[in-house]
Amino acid sequence: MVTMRERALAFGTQPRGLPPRSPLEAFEQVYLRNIDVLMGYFARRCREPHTVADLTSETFIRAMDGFARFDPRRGSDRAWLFGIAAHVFARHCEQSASGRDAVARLGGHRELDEDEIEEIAERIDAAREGAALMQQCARLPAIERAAIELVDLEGLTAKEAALALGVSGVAFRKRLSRARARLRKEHEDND
Amino acid sequence: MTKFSDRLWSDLAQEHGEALAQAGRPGSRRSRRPGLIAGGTLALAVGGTALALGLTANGGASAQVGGVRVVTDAYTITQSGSGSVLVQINVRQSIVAANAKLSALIKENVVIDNGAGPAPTAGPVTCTPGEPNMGGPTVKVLLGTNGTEVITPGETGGNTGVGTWHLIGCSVYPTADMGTGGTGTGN
Repeated sequence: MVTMRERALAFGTQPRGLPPRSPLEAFEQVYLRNIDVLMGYFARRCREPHTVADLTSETFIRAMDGFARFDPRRGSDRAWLFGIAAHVFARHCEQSASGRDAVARLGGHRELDEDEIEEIAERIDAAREGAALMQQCARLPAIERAAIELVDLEGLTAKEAALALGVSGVAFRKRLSRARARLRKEHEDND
Repeated sequence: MTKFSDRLWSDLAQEHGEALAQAGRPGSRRSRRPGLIAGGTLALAVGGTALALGLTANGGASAQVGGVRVVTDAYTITQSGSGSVLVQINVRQSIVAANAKLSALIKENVVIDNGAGPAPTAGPVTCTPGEPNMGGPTVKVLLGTNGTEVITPGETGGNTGVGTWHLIGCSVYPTADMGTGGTGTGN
């Protein structure tokens, strides 16, 4: 028998006709719709399973904290979560660069058992193709890299991605178009 | 779900579920964050003894950017050599625009709560971090020139906000967190 949760996972949609009874249930649906893509986002950036686990955990802790302020009329939960994830990752990079121990993270370090480490390592391997594309984008400005990633890898609409990055739709589309043109030119030059 | 995602959800629900339940559903705690308020005119919303002010963008602000000091008709932002930031605003003017500039400078936005009457103490109010582990600079907000602002009849459309105001409090949030929050004012 297929449960509502499995259906939500399989179709990436909220089960119809059964509105969540509590904020926790509502957030669980957000979690189920997005846990995989969020892990993929960090798996493209980090090779260490524990880091992927910690950053994914921290993103959802922040999201739970801000869930009452989230307004679905202004954009999808996925775009909202990517905005948080980008911030979490930026903070992680700052901490790493300054040598500070990232234990200060909201969720601390998660303890993983062997199975979980293997699962996440598989995710990191699976994200290799996406990570390779991101490496090709390495010379692009950060916002153009993010534009390519959110739209071409994650499948967000331009409007959603613009919201996630905190830029206007017009500015975002310009960036995306410029990023694609640069990648195309680089590809042609390499050929 | 994988074992990791299942266990993570279980931990999240156990450790943060109660706080989530108290905070309410999305949109139920409408954001008082001025940067998210869709603009029209000066908007006032009464919540308990405090007022959360949403202010319009003041078009035509000619920025005079001098590295650490931004001066417009609507606001002044000054960042000292030590990194601390002072935002000077008037409630009838634009904190939306000030927040946009602040975001560009330090990747943070401020949220202010105003109360009626003059400020008990003249001077700026120091913002408290809206989230744990924020490592940004100290941000202070000064209302008017000394912490008190008086809006007289005829100064605003429909005489909205007429009275004497001071800052009750100020919070600062990371910009990335502000992306898709609520749109209204109030508590």
